[in-house]
Amino acid sequence: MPWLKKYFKAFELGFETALEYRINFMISLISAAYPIIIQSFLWSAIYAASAGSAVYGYTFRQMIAYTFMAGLVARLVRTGFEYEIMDDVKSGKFSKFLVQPMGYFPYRLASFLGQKVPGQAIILGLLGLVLVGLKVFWGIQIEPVRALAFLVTLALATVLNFLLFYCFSAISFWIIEVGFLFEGIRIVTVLLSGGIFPLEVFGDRFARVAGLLPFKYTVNYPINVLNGKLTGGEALQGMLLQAIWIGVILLAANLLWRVGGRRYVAVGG
Amino acid sequence: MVIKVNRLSKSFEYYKKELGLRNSIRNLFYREKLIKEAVKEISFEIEEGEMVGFLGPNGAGKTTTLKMLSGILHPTAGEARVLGFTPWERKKAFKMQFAIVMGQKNQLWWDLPANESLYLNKCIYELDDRQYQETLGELTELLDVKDLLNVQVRRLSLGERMKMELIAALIHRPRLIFLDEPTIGLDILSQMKIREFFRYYNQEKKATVVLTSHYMQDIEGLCKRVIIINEGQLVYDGDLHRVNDAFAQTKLIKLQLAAPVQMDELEAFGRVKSHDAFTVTLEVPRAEVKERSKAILDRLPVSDFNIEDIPVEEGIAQLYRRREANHALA
Repeated sequence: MPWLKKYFKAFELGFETALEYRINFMISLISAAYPIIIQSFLWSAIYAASAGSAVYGYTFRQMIAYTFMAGLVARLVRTGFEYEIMDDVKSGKFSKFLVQPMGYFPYRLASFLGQKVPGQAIILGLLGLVLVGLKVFWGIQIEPVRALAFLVTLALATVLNFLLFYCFSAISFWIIEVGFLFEGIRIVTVLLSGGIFPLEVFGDRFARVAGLLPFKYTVNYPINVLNGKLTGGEALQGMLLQAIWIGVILLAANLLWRVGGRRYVAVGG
Repeated sequence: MVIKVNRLSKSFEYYKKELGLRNSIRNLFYREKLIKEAVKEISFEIEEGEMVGFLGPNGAGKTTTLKMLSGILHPTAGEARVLGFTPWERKKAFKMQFAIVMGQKNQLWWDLPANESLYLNKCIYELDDRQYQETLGELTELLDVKDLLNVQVRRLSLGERMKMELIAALIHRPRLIFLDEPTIGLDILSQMKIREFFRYYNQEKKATVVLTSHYMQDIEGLCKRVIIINEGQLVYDGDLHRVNDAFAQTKLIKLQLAAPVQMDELEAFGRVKSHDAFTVTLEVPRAEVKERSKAILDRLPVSDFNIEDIPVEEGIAQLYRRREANHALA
């Protein structure tokens, strides 16, 4: 299948680029630890001040476990290619994909996954350490089946988040400089996906609304599979919903890019 | 027939903004929409194996035309057949057979060695290993960059990078190549090398080449035929060396004098184009070259004497200017 090889090569190049920028990655990892630590202090204070042992249905230990997992999972599924797409469109580099026999979408997906893999391996390792730590110090046990189901949901979550941001990056066809917009979108989606706090923290109504959006299936749902908040049936249902969302967003991406692509004017030189 | 273009047009919408902050703010609420006709109903044909210079001043519509012919842009009106395809349908079979090289754009991965990008192109164009190695060997040899394949692209010089770009563009042995200023910013030696390369490539592979460049040496060295556009319209299509025929009814007479001659004396023989103590260039009507030469030789202290055509560059410059003049009148 020679047509598949090109995307495999794009995957490989993405992988190599990620290794080329390993120091940058390490720094980003350290910066990811920072909010996790701040939140841990915050929750310590809140739990110390509250009368009951549970807040929003989470015990202190569960909340800290969620905070750590959310920080890592949000990092696992996080994208960054939207800036590359913006640059491609703005500078006219997008043109080369119009003249070469290679699809932009599968190329971006392959390159994204390639860039993601080395980092994901390290973060999964860290997550493993966190899980071991939870077991040793607090006795929170994770069943192997859950860990396995988590990995599946994580893979789906990565693809779903890719598609969401692929949709957002189509904005580049309408607005030329969208760097800050992407940053805004990222902050809102991290919040909506439960990447900072459990969604219950914002109240029932918010949680219900967030449940109707796809974002929850990128962070909150995989964590709930891992930490045992969901029953086996609920976990499977969630996977189905992930798959459905992937289908829906794929259609949306296709439409947006078709309409946006027509606006492309191949600026410069 | 490799390329057949029929009344192809492209217009862009854009917004006007007057100078200054006040107008910037006004522009937030109201923007006057204007339409620029970048290409206006141009038609031409190019045969297999031809090497055609595509010329015009900046902003004439050259790149826009190339972008339409390579399928990057949809035209506003008109049609084009390239290698038997309509380019903007972007069929895979079409993409497999041509390449476009833009001197100001790069397709190589910046942080990786060039051979990684080349290998990606091998995969993109679905080449088998033998074919790939053969072409790669030949191209790196011709361009003399064999030992640079493993160097990160960002560490290469501009000339070296351009050579790698060319290899990347030609690795699938395209039948048709669009070159948009391939020598821009390069030193003379690199320019010569790249010209030599394309001369050889065109002869050996019978590939059709459409070249835009602002360096006359590129055009004179490579193209017999030129197509000149200005303000989106075709103003000349034909033999490079006959550009002047269209309108230049004059020739140049160059003189070496044995003794200085007064300016007004020289002006009796033709328009003085340049003049210092012992060398003079006179422009004379083509029909009168013979009798004026005779008169000059008879009456002036001439030590050397030459009759020349007006340089092609000047003819082309005239074609570029003509439009502007028309524009100024209108």
